[in-house]
Amino acid sequence: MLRILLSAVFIMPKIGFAQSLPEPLNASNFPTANMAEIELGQLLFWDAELSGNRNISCATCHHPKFGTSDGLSLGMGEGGIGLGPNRRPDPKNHPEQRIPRNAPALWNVGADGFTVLFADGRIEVDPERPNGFRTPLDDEMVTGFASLLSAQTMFPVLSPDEMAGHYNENEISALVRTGRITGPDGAWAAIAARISAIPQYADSFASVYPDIANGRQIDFADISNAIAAYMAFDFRSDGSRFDQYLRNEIQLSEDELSGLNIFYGSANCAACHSGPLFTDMSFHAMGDPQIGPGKAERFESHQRDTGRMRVTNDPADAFAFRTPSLRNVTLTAPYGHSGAFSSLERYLRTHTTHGKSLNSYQISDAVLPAMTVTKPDFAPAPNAADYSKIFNAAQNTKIAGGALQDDQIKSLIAFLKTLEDPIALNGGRMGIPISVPSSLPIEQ
Amino acid sequence: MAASAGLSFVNRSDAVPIQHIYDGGWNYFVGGGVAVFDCNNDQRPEIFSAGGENPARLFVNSSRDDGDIQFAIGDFPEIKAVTGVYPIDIDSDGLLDLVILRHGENVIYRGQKNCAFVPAPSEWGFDGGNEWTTSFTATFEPQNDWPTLVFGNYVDETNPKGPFEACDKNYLIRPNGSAFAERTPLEPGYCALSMLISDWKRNGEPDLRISNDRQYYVRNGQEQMWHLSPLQLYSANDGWPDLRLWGMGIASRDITGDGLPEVVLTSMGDQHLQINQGNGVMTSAPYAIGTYSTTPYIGDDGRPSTGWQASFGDLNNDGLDDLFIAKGNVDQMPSNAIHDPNNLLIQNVDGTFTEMGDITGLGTTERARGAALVDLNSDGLLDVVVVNRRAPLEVWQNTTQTDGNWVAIDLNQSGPNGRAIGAFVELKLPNGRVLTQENTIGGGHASGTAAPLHFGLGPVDAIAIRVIWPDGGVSNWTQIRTNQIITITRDLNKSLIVTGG
Repeated sequence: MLRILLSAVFIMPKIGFAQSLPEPLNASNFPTANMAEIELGQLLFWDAELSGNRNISCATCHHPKFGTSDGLSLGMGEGGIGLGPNRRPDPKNHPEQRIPRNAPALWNVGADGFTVLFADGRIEVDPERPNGFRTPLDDEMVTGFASLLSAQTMFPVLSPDEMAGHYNENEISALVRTGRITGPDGAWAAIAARISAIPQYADSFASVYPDIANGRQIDFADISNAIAAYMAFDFRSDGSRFDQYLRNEIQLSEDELSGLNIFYGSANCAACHSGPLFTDMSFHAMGDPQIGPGKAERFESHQRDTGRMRVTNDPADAFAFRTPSLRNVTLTAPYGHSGAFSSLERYLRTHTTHGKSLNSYQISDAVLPAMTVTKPDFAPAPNAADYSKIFNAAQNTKIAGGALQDDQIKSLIAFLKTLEDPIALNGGRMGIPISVPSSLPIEQ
Repeated sequence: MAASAGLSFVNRSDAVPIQHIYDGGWNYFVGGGVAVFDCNNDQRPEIFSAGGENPARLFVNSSRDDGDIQFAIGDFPEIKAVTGVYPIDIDSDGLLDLVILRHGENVIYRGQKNCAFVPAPSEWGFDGGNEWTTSFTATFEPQNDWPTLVFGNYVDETNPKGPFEACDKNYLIRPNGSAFAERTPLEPGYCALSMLISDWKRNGEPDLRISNDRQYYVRNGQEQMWHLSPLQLYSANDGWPDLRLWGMGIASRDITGDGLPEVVLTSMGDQHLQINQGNGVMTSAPYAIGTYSTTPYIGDDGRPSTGWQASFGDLNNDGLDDLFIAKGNVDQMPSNAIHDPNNLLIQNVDGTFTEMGDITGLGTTERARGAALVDLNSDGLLDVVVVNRRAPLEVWQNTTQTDGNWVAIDLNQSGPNGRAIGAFVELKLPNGRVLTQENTIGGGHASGTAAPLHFGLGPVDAIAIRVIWPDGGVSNWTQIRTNQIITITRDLNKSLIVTGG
């Protein structure tokens, strides 16, 4: 009875709740599954053949054991060995720097409403552009990718620190650094050539895509399409207790409901974490601490991460990051765009303070495996991460805010735990493949 | 008065009779130079532009005095694989020759009358090498009738471990009488994308500055400076700093008024303006000067810029040098802005610079490479030529409404080095301020101009000129009239002969 009453209230937010409850997620929010394509995509997702030095796969930093992330504040990509918090530098191929942002979880990235990818949205649906998308290659972007998620999948393979490797280490890293990406002499074609050379992949692509069977070569967009199909299927997460609650199938506990009331009411979290995906697919400067090398190229000395502004060039977007989805959030630690907090409780304590907690941030709150870095992990000075500007940007963010009390945080976490999905807890639908066509080792 | 007052440009790219595009694969990601020079003695400079895999093109200036800019196609033997070009009168016959930089053998074309060009005679003994050449500079050294040429090379493609950490050697070629001697390697090379011989210390000993691309030398490399005689690399012991840039272009001009040339070194991200403090010390200009131009100032792409050609010139004749920087993505580097506007940085009276590329339209977002600031239609206003990779050559006619005065000065001396490369021209204004320009060959990005030295003067119309000739001889101060192109000829004594106008 209580549930029904509350539901009625939520449909009418004027009676005391800032935001109404979302619709539950269901299969209609996801692309139709083609199992042959999905199984092909699974093999590619887990195959280090896609990386320049054949030493890292998508799964290395998006592993089901760590909520489709990597359990680290900032990932250790190319040149790392081991998994999750046990990841460490390969002494023979030490990474040049940490990945500048926390590896995002992949839950529901294939859902219809997931229109903005990456923390800065550099891949996003943009109807004002000729091809309907923004991508880092802009009008140089190839065609043939089936979805926004597929377009996104085309970029981590190009990142020297993530997957491609550096300089002369391999043919892909050399092409990337020389600025050759598209076309028959580009990095994508070089990766596609590797995949095409493995008979099992050649056969699978031919059986999944009829025009490849009819003689078309495998393009990288085919690879990314298959990976996107896999991610959309395997990491679909719509079976949480919260979804069941929205479908009137279960009741939530008093503590969970209390958290729900804070989330949709007093703390107004749902102003941004809105809808069934718990994100408005928009950008907000929340004043979260910045750690690590920052979003800076090698020719830049600073350690800032200006977030959305580096994409749009609009000063109003400085230090704003896309609202992350909260699906399975309790499984995806650490938290924040640079993963500054290993604890959700500690993160929530600062997240609503408009940067007023920046001064008290301790790098010990992060999970950073030891490695040699050229820029210190914690560097709040103006010529580095520039905490003063992060703070200033957060002052303009129109979120109700104000620090949360201990009991509120406890309740909120109880509510957020209702967003866990048994399939997510189990590491996805399909599990880890036993082997991949390249025969390279798999991150178990 | 705001720096922008009256500033305007008209896009006259259609004044070039055919679309000319610098294009090609990886070997033409860099380069894309343009020479602007007069080859038919009508004081209206021609354009010769590299084409990469397209043929290089000569466009002959057919503009009428004070009229709109117009060009006709010139006759030039078909030549491809051209990355850059610099005009220079090698044999002091009064006709400009063209040193053509190529991916492959460099060549010299000897200028004839009426913009005809023929390959340099074999007696010249020029060894064009077979490297991937991307930069050039030249000077006339004492006791030599012919110039000393320096060629800067990029990646050594014969190195199987390349392309990274595989930069080729550079080469210096001294004359041997009326011919060239064998090449002298300059090692180590760090993928030189711009070189400039300049007497930057004003001690009568010009040095060779080389700006190098860290994208390819990666770790072990830096900006370089060579003593020319004897040939010796500056080291930390000379106070030479370990500066590492994605160096692409050099612009040199005294903008502080002390007679010592500052330099702009283009790169990725920050564009570096270094202030010449004297005694061989250069320091980074404060960020607030407004020339760092790190990211695009228009458009919705916030990634860092990629700078190539930089050129100083007073574009509104207010007596303050302005700065043009050609910008553009290497090709498809996701780290950098894809649509990267060129910079038109107009100097303010307080020495800061204000971006005017948006207001004037000069901030086009193609992949710009080489460029030139030269008065193409003899109206006293510097026009702008821009070479783009994968997009047509741009010509911008300066239509700025200004009451500012100007003067443009050609130098002439008898005997070798008739154009007096290496001279310093000083203009003294009534308030005691001295404007200084050095007459050099080199710098920019694969682009050279041989045009009268243009000085904007603002309201000043009473000026005196003196010339410090390449051999160190100093002329007397001589009054000249403004708002004209003049030739200053060296006389036997310390006086100057002023002709033209």
